[in-house]
Amino acid sequence: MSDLALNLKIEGDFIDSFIYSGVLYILDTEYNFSSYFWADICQYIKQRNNRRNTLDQNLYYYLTDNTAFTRRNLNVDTELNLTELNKLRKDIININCWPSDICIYSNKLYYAGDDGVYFIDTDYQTAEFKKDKKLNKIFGTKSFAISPANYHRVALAAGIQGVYTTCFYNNKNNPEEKKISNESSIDIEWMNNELFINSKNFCINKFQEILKKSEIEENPQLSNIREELSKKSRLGNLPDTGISTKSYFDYVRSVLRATPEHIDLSSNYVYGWSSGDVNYFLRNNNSITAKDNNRQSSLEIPIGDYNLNILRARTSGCGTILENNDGKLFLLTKGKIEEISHDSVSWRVYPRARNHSNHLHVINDDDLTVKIYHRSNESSYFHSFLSKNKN
Amino acid sequence: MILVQGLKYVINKKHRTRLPKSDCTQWIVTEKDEITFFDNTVSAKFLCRGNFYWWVETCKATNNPLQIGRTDLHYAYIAKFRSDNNNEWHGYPVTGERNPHDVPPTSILESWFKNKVFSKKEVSDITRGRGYVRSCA
Repeated sequence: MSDLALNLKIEGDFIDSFIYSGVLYILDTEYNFSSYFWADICQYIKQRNNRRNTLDQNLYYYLTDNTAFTRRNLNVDTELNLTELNKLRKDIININCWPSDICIYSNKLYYAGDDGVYFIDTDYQTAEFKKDKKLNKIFGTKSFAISPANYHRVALAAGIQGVYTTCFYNNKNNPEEKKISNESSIDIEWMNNELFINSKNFCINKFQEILKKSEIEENPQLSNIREELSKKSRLGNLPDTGISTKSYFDYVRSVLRATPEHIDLSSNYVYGWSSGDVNYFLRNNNSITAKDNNRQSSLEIPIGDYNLNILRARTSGCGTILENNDGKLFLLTKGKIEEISHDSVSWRVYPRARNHSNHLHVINDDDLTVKIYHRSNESSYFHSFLSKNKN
Repeated sequence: MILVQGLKYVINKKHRTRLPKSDCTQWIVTEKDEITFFDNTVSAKFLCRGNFYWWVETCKATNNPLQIGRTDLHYAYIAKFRSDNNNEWHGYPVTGERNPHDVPPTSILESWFKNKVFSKKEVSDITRGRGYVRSCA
């Protein structure tokens, strides 16, 4: 029985793709970002392929929203050509560069261009780009990987230049850059206050959690923070209960400026990534250790027999994708590793997504293949979803 | 120092006489070839906005990139040329691995992609800091 609910080959000459809040963004080799409502694409395929019975309705609902019910015996293997795709396009914007990385977070499309990192505001309700006259530049050095976090922070892997964060919470025209690691890295991931820095010396930097104003005011265990901030707000006739907005923003700014804590890890770990509540560590290509931070449990999966020589790995609802030095892609799910591609250009999964966590996008020479996997009914370390804590 | 299309060019011995390392790549082609590469890139106008020239020498029969330099671990295929304060140009091979300054910009990569010197995957890897290398082992 296939794990795939959808295998959609979208014809075209593409560089990258990203799905976010129901909108599919595709970057082509003319450096145009085009946007499409994903539901429109699913609806179009359903009507074109004449799939109208109730079971198919359920399947198509699952394709639009991966949290919906799914039957594992249903799947769609189909194509979309460029003419069809262009009819479904909602908006287009040119970025005039082949970016090293793209990422959409909090309705901002970040891209790493030739001379720095930029963002474009997006609107998931209209699928349109905000076309500012001036480019929004948030970092001045070419970077190889982008990983955004909350409060307008972005971590950047600039290779031998090190790892930086940039933050424009205060002022988008004057972002604050900070070097947080000298490690030469081209692969980072910021998840749940932890920044995984993959380099010759794999490490994690842990950032201080930023509490919401309501949490500080309502949680009895945070009385020390509340008292400290309340003292600062006792100016004239401000109330003693609660904290002022100004004090709260000062608190946020002070946390944003704090240096992250360097976490010591086992020297056996050579690579790491995170998804949901699980942290994953590769041990010298011989095994993967998955540690569930919620359940305080872990599992070790031996992979030495496969001789994979892993270059990059990520986990989402579709499973764990492993890319090796030969450019092959493998899908690791409970109990098996299968090769899913041997000549892809690039790939992406969406561990932070609510409704698209089972998507795997693979860019090939002549197409973008969107694979959506059925949601596993069994609990598994190698599928993961949004953190049960705050994300 | 010689003149190449009106530009002063100097062979930088640092990239010919030292041990090959990732931060000091060494040419493995002749000085004559190095100068020819510079002449070719100037003719092709492969000057980027950062004021660097870039070149990849390809096999005439296959259009595949040729090894032109090496580090301690890898062969390098991309040449980068820069000028100094005296407007004298010199060049060296680069791998493009992890060094944002040694990754050619879009305008150059696009030209190599369109002329099928590099595949889409290879350009994608270069932009992501993986470089274009082959092991010396």
